[in-house]
Amino acid sequence: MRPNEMSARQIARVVNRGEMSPTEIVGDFLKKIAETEPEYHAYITVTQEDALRQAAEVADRLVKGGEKLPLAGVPVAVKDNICTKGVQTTCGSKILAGFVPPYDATVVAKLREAGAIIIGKTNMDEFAMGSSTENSGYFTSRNPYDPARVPGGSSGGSAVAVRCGSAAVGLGTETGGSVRQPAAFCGLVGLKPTYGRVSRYGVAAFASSLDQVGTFGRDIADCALLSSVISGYDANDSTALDAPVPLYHELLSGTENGAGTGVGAGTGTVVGAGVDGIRGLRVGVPKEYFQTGVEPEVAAAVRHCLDILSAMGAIVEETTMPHTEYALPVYYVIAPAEASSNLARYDGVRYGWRSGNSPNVMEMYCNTRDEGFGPEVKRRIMIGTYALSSGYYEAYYLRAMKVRRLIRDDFDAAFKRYDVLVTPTTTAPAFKIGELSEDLLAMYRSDICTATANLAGIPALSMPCKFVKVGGGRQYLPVSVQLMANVLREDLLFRVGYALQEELALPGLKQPYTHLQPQGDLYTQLEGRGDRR
Amino acid sequence: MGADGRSQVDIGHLATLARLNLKPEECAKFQEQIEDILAYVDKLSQLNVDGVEPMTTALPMINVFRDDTPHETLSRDEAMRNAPDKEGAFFKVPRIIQDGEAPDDGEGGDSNASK
Repeated sequence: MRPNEMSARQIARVVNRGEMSPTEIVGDFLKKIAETEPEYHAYITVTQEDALRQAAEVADRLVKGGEKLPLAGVPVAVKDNICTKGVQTTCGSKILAGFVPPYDATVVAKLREAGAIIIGKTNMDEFAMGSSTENSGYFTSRNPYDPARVPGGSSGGSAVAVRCGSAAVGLGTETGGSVRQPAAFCGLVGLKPTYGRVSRYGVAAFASSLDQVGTFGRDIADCALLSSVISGYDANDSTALDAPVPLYHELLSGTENGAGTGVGAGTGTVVGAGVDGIRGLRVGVPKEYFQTGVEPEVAAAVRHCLDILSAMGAIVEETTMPHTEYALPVYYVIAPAEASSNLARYDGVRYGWRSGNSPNVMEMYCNTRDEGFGPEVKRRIMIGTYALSSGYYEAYYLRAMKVRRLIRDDFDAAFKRYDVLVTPTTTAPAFKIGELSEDLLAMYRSDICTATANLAGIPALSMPCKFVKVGGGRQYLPVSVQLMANVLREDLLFRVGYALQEELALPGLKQPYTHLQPQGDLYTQLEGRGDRR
Repeated sequence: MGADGRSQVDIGHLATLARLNLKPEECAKFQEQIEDILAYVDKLSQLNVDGVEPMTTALPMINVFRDDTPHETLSRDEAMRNAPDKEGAFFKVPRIIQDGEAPDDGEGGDSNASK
């Protein structure tokens, strides 16, 4: 098995045991990048030489220290709005082309400490504003299941890298669904942690009351492992929560030898879910999430997950969260308002692009921002400026903050009765490139099932639950289920997710996939003419 | 509000507040799109929010202070390395005060127009 086909846990294990060197691992991933980038375009920057240098350092630490590192030699794709010392960080924007941070974001420092290798910086919608990577200032990334389709966004590049196997795991950021939606479109597990669970020091701010760093893995345990590594208190971020970090991956039984070993699969028992199990778990199904225009096949796939949980002993009930329909309007006031303030810093003075030949400083600001920002960023800055401006503040921003409270109250009420809430992640599988780019509001509705968790500050996890046939042809695309839990209950999301994953036992998800590779012939597997897992 | 109840946006003023020197041919499209989005978020006006406490942050936050002790920071060179223009220890920008003009606050005279 090539290293790029291994889970992050397998890589860390063979590297810690000295069975493979970090340099061998990185070399194979760089080869995979060379194979997949021409088609799928995950990365803005590949840190070729730097990755090999990091690999040598990790090897050195393992020899000298004799210590075990949780992500020893694991190549990680990092979204390009997360600062990496000495490596260009663009936020997907021309205004930051060539910007080289003088320091590492806390999450990057934690990855390095854990022995991980930062293998590249991934494509994204400019300043994380978008749901497809089509708003990138550089290029559009391609969905590994069908390069005519988007990978989702804004963290689309990291999702593509992890699905292709050009990284083992990846970091994204979330403001309204920017990890969960691309995870859903690329058949990955994606976590948006509790607000404050992960430090945002060194992460370019979009909407500060919503932003959070999230994680991608090809299975629950990899996502859990990466989440454990990056979570925790940070004196450099006043919003970082001072709460203990569970080793989420260790809560999952049967994962020690790489998961997918069949423990618990098909038995209807709760072996896979760890100590607390699924029996007695209270599952709420808010009906409003199924009234969002969700496609029947997606709704059916989510209902199948509920049947599985029921069969395992969970108590599944329909419930109501009456303010759900207001979440997107709230989001599209609050996020642009905060963005208009946060993006004021891009003025051409201290870093980034500066327009030449302006006669005075005011002209310089205005020309720099006009030339450096793309249209979606300009739109959102102007919407936010409008919503905060004198005479409109109360009608828009203040009102949105009040409705946000009502949405949070819906969650408080729900979590008095339920441990987890189960919904679709998206209303449909990945859309085609260009399909929504001329219809702003249709693109904005991509966040319809996900933005609520950001507004409420709670953790939410997306995981694939079915492959659906599209276009009447030979093509299958993944669709996903979303699990939400109360503040700091990521452990519950991983445990329930793990139980579901093992029962669903969908083929091919744990390995890299690109639509061209023969061993990934999804059609053969899904049509029952093969049984490669 | 216009006759159809849609908010009407003065795109030129908004662009100035946002420090964006939009090209004339961009303005009409941006104006229409922004008005569409404002019409969409106007759904919020359907709700009665009397007496609801605004939610300003996702979780209750307390202010955090660090100890007032010196620690290592970026050097000036590191902090200035990405500057588009500099002179010695200073960021260099185009002229702020024009010849013969009273000193300007650089805010274009509308510094009270936004909160």
